[in-house]
Amino acid sequence: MSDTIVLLPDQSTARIPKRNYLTQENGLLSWLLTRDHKRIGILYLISISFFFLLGGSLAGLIRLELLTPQSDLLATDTYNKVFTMHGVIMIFFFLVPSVPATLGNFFLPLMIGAKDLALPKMNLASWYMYMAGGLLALWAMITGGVDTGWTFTTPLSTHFVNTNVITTGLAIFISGFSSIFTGLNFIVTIHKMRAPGMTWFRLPLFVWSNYAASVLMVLGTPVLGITLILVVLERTVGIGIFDPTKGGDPLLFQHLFWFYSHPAVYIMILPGMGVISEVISTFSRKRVFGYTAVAFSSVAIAVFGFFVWAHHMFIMGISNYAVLVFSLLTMLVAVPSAIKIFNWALTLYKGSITFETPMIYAFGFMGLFTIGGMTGVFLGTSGTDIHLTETYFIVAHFHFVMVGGMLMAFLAGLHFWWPKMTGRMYPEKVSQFAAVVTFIGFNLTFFPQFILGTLGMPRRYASYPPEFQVLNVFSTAGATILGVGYLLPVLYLTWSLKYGAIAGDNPWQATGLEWQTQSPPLTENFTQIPIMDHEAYDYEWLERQKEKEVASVG
Amino acid sequence: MSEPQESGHRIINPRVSFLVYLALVAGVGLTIVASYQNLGIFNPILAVAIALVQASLVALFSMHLKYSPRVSKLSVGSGIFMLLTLFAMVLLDYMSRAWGSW
Amino acid sequence: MSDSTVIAHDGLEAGHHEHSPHLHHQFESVEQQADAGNFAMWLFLLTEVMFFGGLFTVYMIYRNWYYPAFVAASHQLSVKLGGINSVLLITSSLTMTLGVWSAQLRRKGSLIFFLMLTFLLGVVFLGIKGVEYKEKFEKHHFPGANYSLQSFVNPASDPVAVAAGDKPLPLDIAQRTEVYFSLYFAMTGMHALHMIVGMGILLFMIFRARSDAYTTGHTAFVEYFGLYWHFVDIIWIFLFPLLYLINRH
Repeated sequence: MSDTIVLLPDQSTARIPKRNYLTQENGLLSWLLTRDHKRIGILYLISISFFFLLGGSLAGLIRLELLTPQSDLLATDTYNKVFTMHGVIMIFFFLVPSVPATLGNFFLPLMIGAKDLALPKMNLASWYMYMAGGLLALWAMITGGVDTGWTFTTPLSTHFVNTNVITTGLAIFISGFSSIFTGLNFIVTIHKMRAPGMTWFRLPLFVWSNYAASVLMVLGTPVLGITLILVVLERTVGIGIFDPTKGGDPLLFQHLFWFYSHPAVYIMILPGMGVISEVISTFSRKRVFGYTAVAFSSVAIAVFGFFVWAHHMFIMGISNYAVLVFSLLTMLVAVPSAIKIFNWALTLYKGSITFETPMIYAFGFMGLFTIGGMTGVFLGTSGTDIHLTETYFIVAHFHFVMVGGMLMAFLAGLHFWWPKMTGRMYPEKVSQFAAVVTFIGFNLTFFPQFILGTLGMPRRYASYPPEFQVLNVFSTAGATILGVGYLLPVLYLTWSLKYGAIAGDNPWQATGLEWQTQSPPLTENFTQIPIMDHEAYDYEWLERQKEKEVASVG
Repeated sequence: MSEPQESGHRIINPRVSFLVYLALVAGVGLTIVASYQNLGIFNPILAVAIALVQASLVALFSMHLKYSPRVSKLSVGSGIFMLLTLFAMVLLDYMSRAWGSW
Repeated sequence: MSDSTVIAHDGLEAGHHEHSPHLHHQFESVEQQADAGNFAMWLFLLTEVMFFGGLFTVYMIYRNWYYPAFVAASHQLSVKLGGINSVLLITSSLTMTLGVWSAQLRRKGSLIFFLMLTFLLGVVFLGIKGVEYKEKFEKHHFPGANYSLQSFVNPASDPVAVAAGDKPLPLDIAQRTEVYFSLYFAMTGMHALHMIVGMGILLFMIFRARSDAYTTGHTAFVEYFGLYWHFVDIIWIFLFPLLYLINRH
C-alpha cells in the first residue's frame, strides 16, 4: 500500500460509534425539525442531488435534440422551455447552494471548532426556503414552464412571452432567502464562533473561500431580489420601470440582474476552490503553498467580482467607454484565480502525491478550470467578445468553469468527506473509474462546443446548419458518457452507506479539526471544545499526535 | 473606551434619545424649507446631505452603532461601499453613453 | 462616555455561563451570543440596504433622464402629508428607543406602553399613506392600463398642478411621469410592506411582553427589532426628500 495514504482501522473489530449525529434521534420529525448543522447539510445534500439529476435530465434532452440539425425531438418552444429550466434549476437550485449549503454547512463549524452555526434556526429556515422555492419552480415547470432563458431579459420576459415568468421569478426570489440565510450564518459563525487559538490565518482555506462566497451572497442576492420583484410587478401591475414604451430602460434590468448574477458565478466557484485547497494539500502531504496568498485571493475574487458585471452586456448597447473599463476590470479577476492555480501547482511540487478519487477530481478541476478561466479572458476582451458572445463558445466557457470546475470540486469534496459524513468509505477503484469517465465525458461534450462557437453556431436554437452536425454528435456522445459518470457515484455512494468499509476517525490522515473527532461526528461535534495550537495543514503536528497516542496506548 | 463596549450592550440615556429626536425633526423642517428656496444644483445636494446627517444620527445613537462591536460597524461600511459601487458603476455606463447631455 | 451606561451582565455576575437560562447551546458565553446576534442583525440590515439600493439606483437614473416629468409628477404629492408622516415615523423611532430602554431597565408597564405607542404611530403613518394612495388611484396616477396624463398635459384641469404653478408638458415628456409613479409606488410600497411586517412583530412583542418575556434580563429580541424599526425610519428619511421635494421652489 505504498501508493496510498489511506489508513483504515482493522475491519474485523472496527465499528461505527454507537452515539453519533445520525443515531442521536430517530424519526422523520427529528430530521425535519433538526437544528443540527450536520443534519441540515444532509437534507440539503439530498435535495440538491434531486435537483441536479432533474437539471441533468433536461440537459440530456437538450443534447438529444441537438443530435440532428432539424428540430425533431422537441418543438422549438419546448426546446426554449427545456434549456431555460435547465439553467434555472442548475444555477439557482444546484450550483449556488451546492458546496456551501451541503459540505459548508456540515464542515464549517467542525473546521473552526464550534458546536454549531451561530443561528441554527435560521439554518433550518434556509433549507425550508430552498425547498419552497424549489417546489414553486417545479410547479412553474409542470404547469407550462418558462422560456425566457435563465436571465429573464426584459422586455422579452415582461412583454413578449406568456409563460410562467411570475411563478419562476418568485421561486428564485424565495430561494434567494435561503442563500442569504446561509451566507449570513456563515459570516457570523466565522467571525464569532472560532475555537480558542483558531486565528484567521489558522483557518482552513475551505473556510476562507466560503467566507468570501458568503459575503457575495449577502451583498448581491438582495439586488437580484428587488430586480425580480420589479419584473413581476411589471407583468402583473404594469409599472413601467423596464418598459421601453413607457420610457423605461431594459438595459437597466441587465445592470441590476448582472450585479448579482456575475458575482453569483463566484458564489458558485469559490467554495469549490476551497475544497480543492483541502484535497490538494491532503493528498500531497504538504501545507498549501502560499497559504496567505490563496486566502486573500478568495477575498480579492469576491471584491473584484462586483466590478465586472457589465462584460455580460458588451453587445447590448452600453457605452463604449463602459466597455473599455469593464473589459479592463474583467482581466483583473484573472489574477487572483491564477494565483490559486499556481499555488496549487506549487503545493504539488515535491509533494508525496497519491491518487485517491478526490485527488483525481481535483486534478480534473485544475485542468478544466484553467481552460474555462482562460477562455473567460477571451470573452472579457471586448473585440473577441463581439464575435464569440451568444455562440456556443459562451456555453462551453461557462460549462468548463461550472461543470468542469465546480461540479468536479463538489464531487471531490463529497468523496473526500464522505467517510466523515457517513463513517464508511466509498469503493475506491469504482470511484476512480467514475472520476476518469467524468473527465473524458466532460471533454468530449464541451470541447467541441468551443469549436462550434468559433465557427459561429449560436446558442439557444433547436436547429442548426447541417455542417455543424459532426461536432454536435461528438458533444452528444460525450454527454452520454458524462451522464454515466454522474450516475455511478449516485449508485456506489448509496451502496457504501451499508456495505462500505468502516472509515475510522481519519482515513486520509488529514490535519483539519473535522478529522480529529469521531466519524460520523457527535451531535455536539466535540466532546470538549478543541484548542488550536498549530498552523493549518501542519502534517508534522499530526505525526507528533500519532506518536503521542502510540506512546500512551503502548 | 473601556473593555465592555465590545459587547454592544449599552443603555442609551433617554436624554440622548430626545436630543436626537429634536435634531431629526429639525432636519425634516430644514429639508422642507430648503426645498422651497432656489439653490439651483444645490437643492438636491442639500436635501441628500441633510438626509445623510439624519441617517447617521439614527444609526449612531438610536441604533447604538457607536457602541456596537467593530464587525457591526464593518458591515455598515461594506454596505455603504457596495451601494456606492452599484451607483458608480451603473452611472459609468449611463454618463458615458451620452456625454454632456447627462 | 456620559451618554450611556454599561449593563452588568447576568452571566458575568453569576460567574458561570451555564447558569444563564437565555444562553443557546452553541455559544460559550452570553457575550459571544450577544455579539453574534448583534452582528447578524446588522448583516441582515446590510441585505436590506442592498435591496433598497437597487431601487435607489433606478431612481437615480430616471430622475436624471426625465427630470421635467419627475418635477411635475412630484408636485402631485402633498408635502404636508409627507412631512407629517416623516415626523410620525421619527417619533415612532423615539418611542421604540424608549421601549428598548424600558426593557433594559426591566419596566414591564412602560415597555408595553411604548411598544403600543410605536404601533399606533405606525398605524397612523400607514393610514396617511393610504389616503395619499387613494388620491393617486382616483386621479389615475397609478401606473398601468388606466394611467392618465390629464394633470400633466393640461395642468389647468388639476387644482394641485395649478397650485404648484405647473406648465403643460409636451406629450412625450408627460408620458414619462408614469416612470416616476412606478418608482413612487414601488419604493413607498416596499417601505410600507416593511412597516407592516414590523407592526406584525410589534403585536407579537406586545403579546409576549405581558408575560415578562423581555423584562427579565433577556432584551435581545426587543433590541434587534429596534434596529429593524430604525432602519425602516432611515429609508423614509431618504424617500421623503427624494420623492416629495423635487424642485418645489
